[in-house]
Amino acid sequence: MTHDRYPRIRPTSGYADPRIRSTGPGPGAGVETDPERSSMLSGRLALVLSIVVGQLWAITIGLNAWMMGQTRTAWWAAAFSVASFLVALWAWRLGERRDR
Amino acid sequence: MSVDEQEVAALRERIAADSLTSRRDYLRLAVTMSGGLALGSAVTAAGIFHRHGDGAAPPKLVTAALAPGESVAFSYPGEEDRAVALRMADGTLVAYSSICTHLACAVLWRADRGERGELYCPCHEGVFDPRTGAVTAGPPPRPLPRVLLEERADGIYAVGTLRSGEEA
Repeated sequence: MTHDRYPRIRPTSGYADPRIRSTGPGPGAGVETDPERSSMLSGRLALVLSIVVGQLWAITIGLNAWMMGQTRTAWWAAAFSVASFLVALWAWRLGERRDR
Repeated sequence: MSVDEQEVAALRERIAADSLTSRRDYLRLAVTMSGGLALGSAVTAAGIFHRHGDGAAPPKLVTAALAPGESVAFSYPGEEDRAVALRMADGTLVAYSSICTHLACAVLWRADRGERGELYCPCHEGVFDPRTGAVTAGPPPRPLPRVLLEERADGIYAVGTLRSGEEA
């Protein structure tokens, strides 16, 4: 697009020019390099919200079981909840790194 | 425009921009909530809440006598563990925690309700079977925890507790 508008500017314009002391953005700068980024963000958000719904269910089951003296079931629900949180954390942090 | 006005305008713009919550902000909030729920589940399983019957106590005299159709309120094993003992029309003696398993309102013995009387929670119309403590109507999620009674020569004693849904 840049080339159509300014035919004399090439993707390599400025290279090997002695007046240029530091390099600017290289070829491809300003172009969306990851077009799926937005939908991936929506996907991550949907995943984490589903996880939160699952955790709400788990805490209900766990509390009910614990009140009935079934401590083992309560611990299983807690383990499920912690594992779910780790997945949510992964979806957040890993995505955050790719999101830049 | 003075420098002060410019600063105020810049601040206004920043505040206005901050009020826009992006999907990334929602994601961070949701992950924080997920962490809170995980912590809450672990703390629940570790036993932070009080359950009826936690802790031991020596046998406690509830009342000297209880006529059919009558009930008496008492606390056992702790002062916070409120309970109700009742004798049904056929002479059966039972006692339950009188803290509703729904939202902890007081459960009352109503001899006039149902065929053989009911344990009734007036807050949200929760009903429990007086023979078993099981939920027969309304929103309570669990049966009432049972208090074990013993009839002795000098009266009725509370001697132990069972968890919600537990059989003797």
